[in-house]
Amino acid sequence: MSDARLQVLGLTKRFGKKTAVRDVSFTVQPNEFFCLLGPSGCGKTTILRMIGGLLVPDAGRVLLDGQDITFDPPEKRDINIVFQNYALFPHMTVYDNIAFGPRRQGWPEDRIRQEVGRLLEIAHLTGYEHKYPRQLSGGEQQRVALLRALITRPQVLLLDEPLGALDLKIRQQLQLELINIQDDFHITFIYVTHDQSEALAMGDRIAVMNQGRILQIGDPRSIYEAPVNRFVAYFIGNTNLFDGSVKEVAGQQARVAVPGVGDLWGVAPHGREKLRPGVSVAVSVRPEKIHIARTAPAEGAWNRAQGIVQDIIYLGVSTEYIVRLNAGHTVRVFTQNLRRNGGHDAITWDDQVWVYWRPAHSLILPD
Amino acid sequence: MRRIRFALAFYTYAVIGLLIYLPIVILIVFSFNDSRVLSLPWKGFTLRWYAAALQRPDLHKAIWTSLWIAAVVTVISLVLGVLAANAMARYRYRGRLLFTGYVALPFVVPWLLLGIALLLYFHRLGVPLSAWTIILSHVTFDVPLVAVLVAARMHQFDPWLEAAARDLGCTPWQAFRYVTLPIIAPAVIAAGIFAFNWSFDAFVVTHFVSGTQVTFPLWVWSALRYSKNLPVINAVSSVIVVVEMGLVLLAEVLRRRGGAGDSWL
Repeated sequence: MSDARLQVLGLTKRFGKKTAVRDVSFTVQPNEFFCLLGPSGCGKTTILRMIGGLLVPDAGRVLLDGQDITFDPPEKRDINIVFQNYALFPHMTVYDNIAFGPRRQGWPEDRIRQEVGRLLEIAHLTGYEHKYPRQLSGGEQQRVALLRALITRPQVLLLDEPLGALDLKIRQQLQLELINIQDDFHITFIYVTHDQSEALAMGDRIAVMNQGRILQIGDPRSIYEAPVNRFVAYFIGNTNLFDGSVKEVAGQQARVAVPGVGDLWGVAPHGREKLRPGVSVAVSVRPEKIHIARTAPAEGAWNRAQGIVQDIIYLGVSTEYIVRLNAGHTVRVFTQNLRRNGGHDAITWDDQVWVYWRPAHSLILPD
Repeated sequence: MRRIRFALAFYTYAVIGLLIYLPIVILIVFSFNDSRVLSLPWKGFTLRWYAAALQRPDLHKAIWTSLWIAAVVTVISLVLGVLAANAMARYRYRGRLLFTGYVALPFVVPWLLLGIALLLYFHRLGVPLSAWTIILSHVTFDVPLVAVLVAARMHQFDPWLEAAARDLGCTPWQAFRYVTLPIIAPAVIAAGIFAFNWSFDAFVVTHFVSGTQVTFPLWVWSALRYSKNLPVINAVSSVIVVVEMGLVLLAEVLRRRGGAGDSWL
């Protein structure tokens, strides 16, 4: 892994008695868009600060292009940060804010003027040179913060929930702009967010964190389709979780007894070694993998259960059904709205329905 | 409710006006009165007390002594006070509250005690009383003044700004120079003005540690013993009151304007 841009090895940080980051390791490749995803307080921002040099770890190392930079001060690292609250210098104009890094590096003023102008054009901020940060909207401040951190072309750019404070529309627009900028500039991004949809949309790879640990690292599809445990399945996207215990293991599949629902066949996405009869597990089924119908599906090929439609949420592209199973569980089902009128046999409130899905879509996960 | 508020405001203005401003106004008015006694009837407009003040070398020397002492005190207090403010507002550490109390203590110690304590201290250490003992003494109460005023400003500003500056290539000193200092500059200038005034006006503490030095307040004190000096003191005081009020007003304006994130450095 000598071609890795950034390596984090066994990073640990304690604040008082609380361990904020616990033995975290990962490797980021050049030009990768790497997301650190987790609920607030899970330690992802602490990791970012240790990579940026704003915090010194209690244990572990940070390597940039193979060089140990664990104890280098922030000004010595070719790594820049886009702060959560932007941290724009309030006493400087947009121009001076963006020119701050280049000036510290001693660029000639000519070159600074050219480069700042070019970047402002890319970010649709031409003409904003002499404005002050307080005169800008949140989205504009965000862009300036990004340009300020980008202009010196650092090896790695760390982004700490950069879109967290913005409206949904602006956020979605800036997500695209960020991805394009990352492509254009060939800079490695490490992007911290608690928004799983943002991570899925933007990340080449995602590290899912909880309570100071990394639970899983993978590309968005593998994180979504093959979560390593209950937390990851629950945190990424929507899912239906059934608690039960393993009854038998047969080939690639296993049968899990779920009290009230019956036996569900499923697969273990990360190995079957721990699947022994009697082990308690969670079964995760994504709502879009579930079918819903008034008539019963053929027995054998499907996991199935019967229930009553409790709620219908029409979302335009899709419809979400909330089905109360006879045993008391609630199941969410997403169906695509392929027809405009829903058809003459459209399912409605209080209908008796079957919900069913393939065993391959029942993920058996350790608790 | 509105009427009560109006009445309260009126009384406040009236009390402050009668107790503080009226005596000052009377002082200034009578400094132009052509009489040795500070009372009515009005004997006619004159500038001769101002002229007399101009011809008192002892007065000039006292003012000059106070000015240079205040200048030195201000510079020292600004450096130490800004550093202390930084420690008070910026970092979290065990004993921060204790440190803040330690810095602010000279605020609440009666100045009479402070003067006596300093005198005993210098005496015990065998430090001869001089302008420098005055300067050291003034620094003891000007540092907390500066620290408190500047810390108030520092509390308002985003600590991540310094982190951002470091991240963009600044050493700690450069981050302070290019980011922190410009932002706190209004408060620092205001604190400097207040510190200068406090030193220039200080009588009680100075009285104990001055030795043979005569600062302006000490000169006034000794000159007061002869009633013939009264009109001259009056004239000089009027000038100083006007200058100081102007400075304090400026300091207040700077301090308030500083809230918007402007700066001049």
